[in-house]
Amino acid sequence: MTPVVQPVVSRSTKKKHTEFEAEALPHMDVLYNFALRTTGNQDDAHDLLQETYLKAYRFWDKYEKGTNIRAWLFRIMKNSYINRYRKETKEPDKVDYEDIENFYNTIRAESTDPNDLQKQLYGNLLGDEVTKALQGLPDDFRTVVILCDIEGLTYEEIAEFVECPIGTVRSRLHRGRKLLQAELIEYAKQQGMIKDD
Amino acid sequence: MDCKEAQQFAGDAIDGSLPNGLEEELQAHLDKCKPCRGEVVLEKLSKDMVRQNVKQIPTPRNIRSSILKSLRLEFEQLEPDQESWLASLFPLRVVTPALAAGIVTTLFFLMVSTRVDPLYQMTAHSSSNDIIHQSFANFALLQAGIMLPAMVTTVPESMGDFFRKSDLQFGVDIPKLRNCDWSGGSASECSGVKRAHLFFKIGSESVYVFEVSDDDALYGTQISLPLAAKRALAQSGWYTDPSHPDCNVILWKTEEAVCVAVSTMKKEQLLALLPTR
Repeated sequence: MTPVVQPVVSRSTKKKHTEFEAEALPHMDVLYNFALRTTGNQDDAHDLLQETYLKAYRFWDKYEKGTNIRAWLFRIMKNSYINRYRKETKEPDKVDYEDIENFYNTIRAESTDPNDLQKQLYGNLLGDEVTKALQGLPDDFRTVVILCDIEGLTYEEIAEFVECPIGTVRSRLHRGRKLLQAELIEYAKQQGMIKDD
Repeated sequence: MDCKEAQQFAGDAIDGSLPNGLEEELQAHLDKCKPCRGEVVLEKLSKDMVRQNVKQIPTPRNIRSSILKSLRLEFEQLEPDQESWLASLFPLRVVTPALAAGIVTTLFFLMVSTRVDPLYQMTAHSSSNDIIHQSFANFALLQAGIMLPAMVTTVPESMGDFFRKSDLQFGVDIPKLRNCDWSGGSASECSGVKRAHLFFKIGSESVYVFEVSDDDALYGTQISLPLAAKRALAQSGWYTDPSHPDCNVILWKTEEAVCVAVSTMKKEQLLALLPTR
């Protein structure tokens, strides 16, 4: 016996639904992790993930078949996040890069030899601290660090995800990591893991 | 390459994204520039810290479940006449014999991942080649979360496409279970026998249906059926195994397949899920 026959009237809707599930559901873990790192808590991550999937479902006709589905879902999530959580905070791309640069250079000038630092920090830091430091990064920086260092995407993929040139991805990644280092060094100093000059 | 460029490409080097031809240039610069070497060490330190300490975690069960549910609701809104057209097309009596079984554990469905391979590698088919035995063995693997569906959907009927593409060479019977939240499917082959595995989630209960072609089940040598079952299936198309007094296994036959549903549900519950017979 063949599977349930689908009537003409709903064939397209059903086909659409099936396609959507087959294409979009496999990316749930990546999206969830991104939502979790971005919002910082499970409830908001849940809301954001749900909103993303529902929007994607409603706008499935707009998705261009054969293009990067993950990037498409990610952009929906990013926009949902901006609309939902960032209305009252700063707009994207408004981060004061100079401040960061100065802050970082100060830290770096104070710090010891990078090789020593590596030995001192490695294995001493707690996951929570790193997560917190990541959480504290400006959105644009955090996004590329998550996509590159946790999700393992290539620069090209990240560029497609965030709709920026690769050069921008590169510099955000570099600066994001610098900021992270600064945070972690600061923490390590407070904890006495490294000498406070 | 100067220091500015070297620092710019330090990240590329660490991430394996360095444009062709720049490797040697960068290395040459690093060999003679200590601050830039330090920069690379620091950048790598940052990456390693994140990678070591912030792991990817699977979507929690309750969240996955809630999202699948909301997608199904969305679909039903688009498809308000779903029940009626089905009912009109298929008088209940003729509707593919729906089967249900339930397990208290929700483990496998909540761990569903479409990234998991189908059951080709599964050791679902243990010592006995008895179809009922195998169904129970698979059911146990599902309960343990070891066996996972290759695909999931909130519309059981859409599994039709999946199985059509699976090259099973028999029509898979896809029961339309009442109040089904979502379902999943896998196809496998073992000892030359192609098998379909269907999973249904109804509230906190789960259902597993194992299907093989009727040729394999009734006449094949690789898989066997108790004689009583063969007789009952030939006579009425249905069989409930008396060695399971709770009625947690039901067999039925379609034109092309023999299907086995396994459940810990009581007989009454199970029958209540079925279309009127």
